[in-house]
Amino acid sequence: MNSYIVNVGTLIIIQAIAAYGLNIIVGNAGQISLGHAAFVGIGAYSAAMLTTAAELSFWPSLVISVLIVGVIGLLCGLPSLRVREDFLAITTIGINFIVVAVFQYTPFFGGALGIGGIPRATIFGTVLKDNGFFALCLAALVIVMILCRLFTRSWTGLSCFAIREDETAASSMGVSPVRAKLIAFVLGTMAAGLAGVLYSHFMRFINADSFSFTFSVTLLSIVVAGGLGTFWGPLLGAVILGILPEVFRPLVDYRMFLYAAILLLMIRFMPGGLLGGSTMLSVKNLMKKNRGGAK
Amino acid sequence: MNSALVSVKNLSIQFGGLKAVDNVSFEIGSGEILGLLGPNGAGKTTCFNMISGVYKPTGGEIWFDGRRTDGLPPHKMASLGVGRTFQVVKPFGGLTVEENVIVALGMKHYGRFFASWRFWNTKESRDRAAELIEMVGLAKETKMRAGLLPLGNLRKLEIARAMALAPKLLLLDECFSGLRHEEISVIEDLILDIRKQGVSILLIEHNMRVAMKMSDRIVVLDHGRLLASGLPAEVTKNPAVIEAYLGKGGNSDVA
Repeated sequence: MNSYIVNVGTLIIIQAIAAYGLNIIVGNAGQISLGHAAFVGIGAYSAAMLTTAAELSFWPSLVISVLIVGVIGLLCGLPSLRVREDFLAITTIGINFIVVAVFQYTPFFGGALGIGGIPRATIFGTVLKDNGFFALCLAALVIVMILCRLFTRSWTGLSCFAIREDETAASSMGVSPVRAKLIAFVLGTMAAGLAGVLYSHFMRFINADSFSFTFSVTLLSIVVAGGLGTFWGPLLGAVILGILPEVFRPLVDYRMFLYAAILLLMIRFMPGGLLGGSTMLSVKNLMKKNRGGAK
Repeated sequence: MNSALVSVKNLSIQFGGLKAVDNVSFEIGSGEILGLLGPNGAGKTTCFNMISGVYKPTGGEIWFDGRRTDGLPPHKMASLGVGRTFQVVKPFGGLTVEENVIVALGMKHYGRFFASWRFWNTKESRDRAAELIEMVGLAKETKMRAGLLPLGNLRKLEIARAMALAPKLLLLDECFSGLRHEEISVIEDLILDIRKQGVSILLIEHNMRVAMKMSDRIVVLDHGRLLASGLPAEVTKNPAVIEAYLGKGGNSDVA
């Protein structure tokens, strides 16, 4: 396969993994997060530090990094999820800026230079290059998608839908709002962490700029465009928003403008996203007329 | 009447300078329907919200089923056996009627680490939901999004959802308001049916006629204070109650 296409494809898949995590938080549990890139960054930096400075190999570093992100997600979520939605948006933006600043200004994390010399991923002693790494990311995406599907079918997943629909009513039905939101937040950030680990070994050089607030907005655009809370939405969104800038190379300077325009148009004309609710593209709707549902 | 299921002792709550509920005491017996009446702003819903755990009282005690429960959060009250409906209906609009009921069936799973990761869409939960949906008469709407239902059906859905908790106490907050006569009588029968299953009911009602007909006993609140309590016939004759409802000068405002 053409290596350019493989590279673009790998990045799209990595973004899709992060978007699936964000979809649990925003789409399933209804909690706005505008700081998702911070957790991708924490995953990327953990993997980078563990495989360079600590000289761990790829797989142990992957597991530890995802767990680190989960714990930090828990610590950030504990105070943040007690505030109401609009404040949560602000709080998560704040988390994003703080995390980027810590990476940027702490010599321990390489400061403005970032971290380089990150080794390639390996599996059973085989070094994964372009196509191999693409396959690894694809496998990771499939696993994340399966886990998301299982999550939506679990009682915990159902309790998150209830919280999204109406917090007061949900708590009167025995759902602890803090617990449900926290589980969604931690699972979502762990998926972001996984995306970060893969990104780290893909780029093999990272710096704080890659995980800025802009990236959080991109991730949210992906989820909203694809369809909040839908199963295929994050993948579709990642593919469309990943391919658009490649196709419209000359417009690359206007990318953020384009995303903003897409977001506004979606909110106005398709609030459920491409795959959500009552849009023409909703295959599920066409097949099962009038059947709503917990997706 | 058996021993009291709920006893509220000297209950008070203050929002800033406003004493919304002031030193109110009453009891609800097992299997009893207690009507909670009073004009707008009398503190009925506030009382409700304290019993169901939404507000923490600033004074007094609430005892439910032998334990002190004031200050416990709503999801704890739900697991102890308190089901409720809302004055302004709060369905899970994006979920189907069936899923709405199943959310409440999950009450026994949510707090437990392993059980909370099992699948919710099992035959067992669908069957139990179907029974409850049948009981309130929404069988035809099972697969419909709750957000699409008219008000009467939403009130029925809220009752089904509350009953899914297998409650000992059901709190009904103006579950007749905004309904047509035919709908009111259907829900009246439903409530009497539920009481036959041994569930105690606290009924907030604006409509005097319905409240008189349904309740075993009545408690009247006015400006946060207990105005009168007793059998429906006694309460209607109480001059203080008549004054609170109709006013001194005979200018009727609420009925």
